[in-house]
Amino acid sequence: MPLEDQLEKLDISDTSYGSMTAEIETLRDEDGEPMEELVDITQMFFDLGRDLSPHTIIKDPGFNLFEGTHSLEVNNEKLDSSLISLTDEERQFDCNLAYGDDELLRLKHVTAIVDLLTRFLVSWLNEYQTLPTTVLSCRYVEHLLIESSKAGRLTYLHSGDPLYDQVLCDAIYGICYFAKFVQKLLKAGVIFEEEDLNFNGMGLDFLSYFEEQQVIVDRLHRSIEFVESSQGDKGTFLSRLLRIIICLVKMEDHLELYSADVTRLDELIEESRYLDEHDVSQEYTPPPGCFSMSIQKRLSNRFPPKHLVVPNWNYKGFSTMAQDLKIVLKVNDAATMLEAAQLAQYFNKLTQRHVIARALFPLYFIRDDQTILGKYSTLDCIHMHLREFSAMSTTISKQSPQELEPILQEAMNVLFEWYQNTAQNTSRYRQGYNRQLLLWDALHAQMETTEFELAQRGIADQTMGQQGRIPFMPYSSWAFSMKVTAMLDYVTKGFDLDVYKPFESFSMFWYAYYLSYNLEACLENVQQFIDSKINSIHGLAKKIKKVKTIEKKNELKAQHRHLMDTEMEQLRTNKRYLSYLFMNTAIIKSLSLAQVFQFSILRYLGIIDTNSPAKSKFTSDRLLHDLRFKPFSSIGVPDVLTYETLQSTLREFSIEGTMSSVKLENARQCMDKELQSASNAIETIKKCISAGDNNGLIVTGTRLVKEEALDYYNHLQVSVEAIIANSTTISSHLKSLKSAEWKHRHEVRLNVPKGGSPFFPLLELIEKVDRKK
Amino acid sequence: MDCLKLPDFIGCTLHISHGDGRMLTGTLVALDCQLNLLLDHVQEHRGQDQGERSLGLVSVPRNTITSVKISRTKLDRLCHMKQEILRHII
Repeated sequence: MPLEDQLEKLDISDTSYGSMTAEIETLRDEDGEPMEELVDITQMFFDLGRDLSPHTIIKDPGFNLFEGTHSLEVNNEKLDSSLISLTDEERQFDCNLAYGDDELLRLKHVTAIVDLLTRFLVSWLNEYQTLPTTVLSCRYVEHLLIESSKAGRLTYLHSGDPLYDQVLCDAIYGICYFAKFVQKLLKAGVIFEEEDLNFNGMGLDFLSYFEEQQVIVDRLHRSIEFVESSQGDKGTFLSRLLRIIICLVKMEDHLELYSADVTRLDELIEESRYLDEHDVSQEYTPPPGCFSMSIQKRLSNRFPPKHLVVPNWNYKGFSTMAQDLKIVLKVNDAATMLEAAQLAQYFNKLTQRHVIARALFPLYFIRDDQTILGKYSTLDCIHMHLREFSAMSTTISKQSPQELEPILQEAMNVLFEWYQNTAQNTSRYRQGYNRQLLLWDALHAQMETTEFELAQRGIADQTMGQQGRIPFMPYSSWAFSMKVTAMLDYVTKGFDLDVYKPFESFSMFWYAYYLSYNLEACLENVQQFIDSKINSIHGLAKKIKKVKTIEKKNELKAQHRHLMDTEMEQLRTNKRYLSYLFMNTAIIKSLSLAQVFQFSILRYLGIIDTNSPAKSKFTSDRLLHDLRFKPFSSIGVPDVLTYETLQSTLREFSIEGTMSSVKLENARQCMDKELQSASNAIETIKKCISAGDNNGLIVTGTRLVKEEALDYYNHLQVSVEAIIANSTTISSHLKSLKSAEWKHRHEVRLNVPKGGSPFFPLLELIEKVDRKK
Repeated sequence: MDCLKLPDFIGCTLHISHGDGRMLTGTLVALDCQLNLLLDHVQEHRGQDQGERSLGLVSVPRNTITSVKISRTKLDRLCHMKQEILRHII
């Protein structure tokens, strides 16, 4: 039995405190009732402390001292919120007083409060500010939330002025209702507290007991009518603010009712534009003491004191939010899974979207009832994805053997995670891919094994390879292409996030080239299969002509018609989509290879090398390489790039020896060729995106994100041009660049040109900064 | 109480008073040789009119402490536990 349990049974009534003196006091509760007897051990505590040797730390074994660095410190002005000093107005602020000597001043006060609260919402959501320093700094918000929570219903002020008692309260409840929606989005787990959004509600209940959105909206309409009828033109600004709040309250419908109606969002854009153009911040001032840090001092608070935010005239922020939400809601119009996937791929790729839009996307796409967009089951969804890539017209998809079901379920889970990851903030996006690599790899292995087993039972597809008929595995081809695409995204996103130093760029660009080469091989395989299927349907038409019996002819005709009706269109679409994928992959491949050549030229000049410039006895270039490629180390196929392979590649690209001038010229020519080919592919894709998928050439699936996809390729085009210009600059100074002094004064940096793609930064020559100066 | 040492108070709920009339009640998780304390799950009491609030993990510098108190029940239990341990060792 544990010692403490044994002691429970001991009689402790005659406890003696020995020679130590102890003063006894009684701790009382709020009503003055005795709670427990306290013994003063101050002297004993300090006496014992004298015996401690310097540097001694006594701590709970389960406590990590690192956590202590997050502690608040008593009597430290920067950390102790009890020390926040308040003005007399702040201390004496009374929420049930109608501040303002006359009606106009009261209108101005109420307008100023609602205006500040509305702009605080933008500061909170768009500028990563906290609630206590924005919305919750308003005494009325705190008061109403506390009083309503106690009553379990919406309570109102009693100042005697309807502007305060009705209009202000309705506005505040509207804002709090919207905050409750944001809280719900945050709790859904797509976005992260502190990383994407701060929801420190100071322990206040944000209307959890109140679900009736319509009541809030009706009351806001009532207030608008009241302001317009009682204040005339003087109340225009206030009524516009109330309209914005209604739009915010209605935003919940996109999650609760999965509404794709953007009327309210358009209204929000329009209202926010109006307010943005009418800066009246100097005209209206809130009553003194209305906004203060006092909530941080009075309520439970685990954070250091923070000054209130001074918001800009930031109404445009609502427009950003609404525009981003509109992009996300377009997914409702996705006619194919390709369109949904392309929306996911592009909507958040180049520009990080508003936190509300990012949080809503996966929740809107994958619904609470386990359906996709309320139309498809999860199994339908995965089948559509597969059919729109490689599984159309395959034996395996037609027979749909039972063994595949658990694997398809697993595929769906991985795919959902992919969709969710596309909505993450820019840093977590890459971290998410890190995890995705393993999931796709495991899925690829599983699919390959199952398809191999099915092939042995005769459920198999074949395609014509260079050495005759070869097995074709449609499901594992899809998983492989998703995996390699994720690997490419992970690698190139590293450049966007400045993860790599210039000396690492050779290996990462080479790896990107290697991956796109592998992806191309997979796409070729799929294309061959699709071609063979299309040819076989066409072949059927020819066969009909050759057959002599009417009966057989009719049978073949029916078969042909059936295939034309059910398979041909999708096969042709897939073929055109593959053409797009080929071009897209070729762009990455060419740009990566051009960067590899650029690196080799700079290496020839002696300005850069693949080895780390920071030498340390604790590490080596090999260890650094292994660390850099650790995320790929457990991937089965494609093979991981070993240190030896990389070194041998580097030697192949090396411009050295007697033929160096020829090699240099070759490198420059190859670089130009790759960049030209990338540029052509970009132009073609851009034209096809603009023309839409009925252009007859390629299918991009970007109908819903035309602007975003074009933006992505425009950035790539700028990068291509910048790489060409950069290469010309370097080449034009080749002779002087070889001088030792010049080399000493210059270095290479990775730089994204203005309007260029962050995934392919320039290897730019710059003068070294003398850090000693 | 003679038998008690500072490590025995780790994990105990202490009531720390300050000169400004505040009392902090929290679980002692660490202390250093200068008797700066680290308390977790801290509740701050500021007199009956201002109520109380929670602050989480709080570091209490030695020079801000005017008194350290512990509940009698807990102290009794600590003393007994220590005596029992010592008796077992001897």
